[in-house]
Amino acid sequence: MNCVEFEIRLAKLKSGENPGDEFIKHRNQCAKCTKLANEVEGLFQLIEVDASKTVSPFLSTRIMAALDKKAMEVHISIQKAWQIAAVSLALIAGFNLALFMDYRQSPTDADSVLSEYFFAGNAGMEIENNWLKLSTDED
Amino acid sequence: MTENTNAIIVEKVKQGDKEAYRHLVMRYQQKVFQTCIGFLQNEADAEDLTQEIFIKAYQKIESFRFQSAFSTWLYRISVNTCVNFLRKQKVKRLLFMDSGNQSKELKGVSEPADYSIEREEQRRMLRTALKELTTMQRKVFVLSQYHDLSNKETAEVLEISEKAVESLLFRARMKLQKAVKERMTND
Repeated sequence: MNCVEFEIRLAKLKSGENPGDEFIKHRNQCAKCTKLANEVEGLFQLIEVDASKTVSPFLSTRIMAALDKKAMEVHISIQKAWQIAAVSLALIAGFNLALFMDYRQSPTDADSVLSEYFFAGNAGMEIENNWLKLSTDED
Repeated sequence: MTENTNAIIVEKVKQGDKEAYRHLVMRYQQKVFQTCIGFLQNEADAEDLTQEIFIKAYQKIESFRFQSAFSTWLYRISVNTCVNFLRKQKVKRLLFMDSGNQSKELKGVSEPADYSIEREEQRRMLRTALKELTTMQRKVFVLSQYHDLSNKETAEVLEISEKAVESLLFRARMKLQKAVKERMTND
């Protein structure tokens, strides 16, 4: 086994697996490969240490509390959405009602003509009457 | 807890029984946490992300159709969430030149008081080597080494073949060895 073959075998080696006689023989003969194998073993030991870290005992409580908070947020946002919808609807309804009332109260075309004529006539009549009155007084 | 029990609990959760979800959290939090540690190399971030993963799984549980084991589905969410988190972190660093997370990352998983400089150097090298891996290589490496899943289970989680898992794991380990060799040459 040469160094390249050793490295390939090392990369394929599973935890606890027997690497084989040739691998062990090369490891004992080649100082560079021995160091490499030791360093790699050290790295996998480090990974094992990290992987064995236990999760905080309070994490599940934290998760359930976060879920409750999320549910509450959703509830509040639904409530807010309903409030906004209700206010918007009220405003639209009020606006439409105002338009409708205005329409109901506004005079028809015939009314407008009549009232304009009446007021215009009245004004004229008033001036005329006053003038007549004045001229009567002068007499 | 068997898959049958899981299925009953998942059904309960789907019907709105939030307390039933606690059983699933208790059952899988350690495994999900290990995955997060493997990706983030930081205990505090790993815990936060574990929480996020369980919230995400709860919100998506309606879409779980029992086509795979619940654990497979959950681990898939975990891996994808971790990868997305790392991507976001990378973008954030690039955009804001944020060194805060880096220093936090260097601190890493809490060590016993007598840890040596050698150990810290090893940890730094491990992080550097992990960063060199492609996303798929890293996914396979973490599931296999940190999560201790078999090649078959890893293949199921990642929806790839067992052969692909073997190949990705081999390449990941070769890259790791390359990093070790480079360090040996520098020494």
